[in-house]
Amino acid sequence: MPLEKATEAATARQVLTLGLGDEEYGLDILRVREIKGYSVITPIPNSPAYVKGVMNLRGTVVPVVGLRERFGLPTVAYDKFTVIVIVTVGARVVGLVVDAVSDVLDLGPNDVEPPPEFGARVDTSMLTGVAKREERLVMLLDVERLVLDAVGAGLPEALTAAGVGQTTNSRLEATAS
Amino acid sequence: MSEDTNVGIAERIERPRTLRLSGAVDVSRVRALLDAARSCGAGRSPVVIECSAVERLDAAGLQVLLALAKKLQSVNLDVRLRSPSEAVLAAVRLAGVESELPIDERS
Amino acid sequence: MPLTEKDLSRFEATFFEEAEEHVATMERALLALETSPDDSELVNSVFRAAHSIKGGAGMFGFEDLAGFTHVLETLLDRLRQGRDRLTPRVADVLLCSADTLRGLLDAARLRGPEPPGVGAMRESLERELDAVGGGANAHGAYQARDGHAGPQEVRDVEVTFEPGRELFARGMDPLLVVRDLLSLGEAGRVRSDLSSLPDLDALDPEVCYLRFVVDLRTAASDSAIRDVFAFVEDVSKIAIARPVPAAEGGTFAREGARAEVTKTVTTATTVRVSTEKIDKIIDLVGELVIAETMILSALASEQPDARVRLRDAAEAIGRNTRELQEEVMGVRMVPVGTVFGRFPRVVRDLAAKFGKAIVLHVEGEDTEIDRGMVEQLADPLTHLVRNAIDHGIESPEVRAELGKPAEGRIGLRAAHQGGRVVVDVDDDGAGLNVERIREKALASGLLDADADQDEQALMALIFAPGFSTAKEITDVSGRGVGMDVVKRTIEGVGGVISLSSELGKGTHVRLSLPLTTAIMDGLSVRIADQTFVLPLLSIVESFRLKPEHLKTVLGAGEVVRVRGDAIPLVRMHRELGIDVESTDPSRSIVCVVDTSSGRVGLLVDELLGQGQVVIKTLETNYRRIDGMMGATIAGDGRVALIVDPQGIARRATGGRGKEKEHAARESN
Repeated sequence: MPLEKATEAATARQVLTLGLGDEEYGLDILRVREIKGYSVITPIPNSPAYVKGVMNLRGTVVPVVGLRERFGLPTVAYDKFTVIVIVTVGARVVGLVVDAVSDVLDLGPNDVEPPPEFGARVDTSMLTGVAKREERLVMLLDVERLVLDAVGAGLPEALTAAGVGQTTNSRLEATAS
Repeated sequence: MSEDTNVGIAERIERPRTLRLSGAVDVSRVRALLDAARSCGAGRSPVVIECSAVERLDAAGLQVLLALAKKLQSVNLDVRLRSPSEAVLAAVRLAGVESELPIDERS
Repeated sequence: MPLTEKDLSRFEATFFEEAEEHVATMERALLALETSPDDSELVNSVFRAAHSIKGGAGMFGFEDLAGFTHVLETLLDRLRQGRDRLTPRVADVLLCSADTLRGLLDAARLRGPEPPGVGAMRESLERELDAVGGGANAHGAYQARDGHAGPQEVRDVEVTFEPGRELFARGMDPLLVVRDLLSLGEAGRVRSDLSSLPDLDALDPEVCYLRFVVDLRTAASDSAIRDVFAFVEDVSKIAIARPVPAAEGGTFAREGARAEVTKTVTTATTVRVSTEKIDKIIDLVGELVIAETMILSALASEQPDARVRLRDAAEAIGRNTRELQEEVMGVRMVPVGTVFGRFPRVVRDLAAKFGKAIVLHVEGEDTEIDRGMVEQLADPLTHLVRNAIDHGIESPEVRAELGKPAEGRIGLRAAHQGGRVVVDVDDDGAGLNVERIREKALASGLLDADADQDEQALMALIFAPGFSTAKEITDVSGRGVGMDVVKRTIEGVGGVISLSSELGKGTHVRLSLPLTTAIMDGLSVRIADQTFVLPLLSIVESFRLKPEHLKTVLGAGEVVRVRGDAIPLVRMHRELGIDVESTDPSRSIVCVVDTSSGRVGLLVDELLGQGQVVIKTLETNYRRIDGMMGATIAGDGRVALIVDPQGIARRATGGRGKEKEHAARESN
């Protein structure tokens, strides 16, 4: 697992930044399927507080995870500015509720550092790193881990089982060196 | 959704271009490989293929690299393999193309 | 169009599908050969099937599978050349090999470990091979890898391999073939001929332009060399230069990689659909798009006929959607022969095991059922057939004494009846002994001594959990056995099981199944502020709760009185963890559901309506939720969860529903 993270941190990529409370988080753009506004969510009985329920995405039943709840931020009411980011992990499609979505950043290998040792607030096992860009500090989310943990599949082995397969890290680049 | 190819902007400088490969370089990704190879082969620089992280190289992938080598060699430019992984070495040896795709001494 | 990983895995998936069919073909032919051992066409078809599997396995890199199939194929080749006779022992070995093949295919498909017994099976095959005419040229390509020197003289050959241009598009890698070729000998040298390789800018990366010339010192025969190219030969050019005439007598003709392909589909992951059906579906979707446009334009229109146009559009949508639904559901249908197909073998093996003589009659194999049902039916049917053979049909001696024909008869029949699929399993054996059932039920407490039960009710007891005694559980496969599991499985797909029997004459079990699993009749209910769906089939009755019928019983929780019986009551909002401000049970409705934990009353706030719902599974994107069997999209676009009455009942009663019913009854 650490080896994977090192590789990810070392290669350039694009990240969608999300707002959550006062902080910014980043998601690998390749995982983002679409961004939706407020949608009706049907609660699931006897589930963790951060699993808000399921929603109807054009006929598919998609679970929705509240990132505020997941990271221990106070819950806010849904309104028309609430955003749900639909991501794919393996064969799963999952929605993540965030406060807002802002821009897409191009991150080079020098922009990303390993996640720091935080206090209790954010579960750093859910981060792949931290990106610094001018004054901004963007915490990069490990979407796979986040989703698999939320649906109860948890373990890295589940990555293969979920159909992610061995070649997720394949990259082809041509750069002037 | 965008394919996982990241092709940098070409600079017209004659330093060696690096083609960085990792994971499975096979028929499933061969179109992206071709784009990257074409981009590398477009200039007047020799090419270094950084392939230490390649887990699998099949005939389709090898074919593209050979085409790149053929093109550059026709204008007396080099293509070299840097730090080739086991998979790359095995494929190159199996196909008997060590002279078309030599290994960079600095590997 | 670029090849994706999905495409590649589809090629592999196709290989596995076809391999399954080949194994099924082999099995059918081997069974048929038992009655006509000299039918050479049958032997040929078994050989061809094995050969195809071997070729594909080698191509996709499944070494274990290819190696095993190769030994099997060699024995089969011997048979079809008439150099070995198909004795019953050989037939057994071959049939068992077919099973081993299935295990190896599964292992290859799931990337799992080699199943147990492969080595032993392989030895059996090799013993068979050695038993007839020595092991000469027995193993060719795959043994050569182990370093055995064949009986051929060693010679130098130059093999030219020009793969077909579309080889990559088929998901194949010529380098693997070259590697296999090299393993046949030593001092191998490969030269890649790049003369046909176009310029980088003109290159089509999915076309193979390479050509390989391999120098090799080998003892393998020409045909063994060609063997390596089996799966690609039909699209490639292979030439062997400086050959030495092969020592073996007669080269077998290249059959090509095609074997007979049967029309049944056996995997659950892909479907074969006629293009006609696809066209029909496309047309219907087109009509829907038109209807959408009609609506949008009617909405935008200021003219007085806008409402009429809207209504027309809505009707068009309704019509087309219903037709589309039918067509798409039809895509999910497969002939029930897919499930029935394994039974000749099952019956043969079990009859031998239990020492009975049995004839199996199968009817209605073409009857179509939903493919989701196929897997679900296999185990219950197997259990029913096993019961018929083990407990139903008497031994030949007993049958003779009874004046019955020595061979017992088991019938498997499927037919469409009244909008459902009816599957019958019947036998002419001993029938159910109602007295024995009564005794057993009394002994295990399922029946009250003074209760007066009629024959039908007694026979239905065999479906009660805990009824099967140790004597009857003869299956050591470790799977759940017993008629209660059969009943639950059948009901789980929305089916109904019933049986009738006559002592001494036989037993008849009937399964009545819905045409599809993906749609069911549901009852929408309101629980607090949320909408849920209950499966209509499970609901026995519903009524408004009268407070005087509600009681709390020590040891059984809350119960509600229903016409003299008291059944456990489950307050759904509590079960589901939904907060409500007040619980005024007088306005609530009780839905009585019938489950394998007995009857349970589910307390909901309001009945909203009945209708067909499309079942969406939760497991794709989330996971299985205890107490829920899926979800559906309601008319307003919201997701409504579908309650699983079995799960709720089991949780609420702790699985001891019957006991609680008793406790409740006693306290009346």
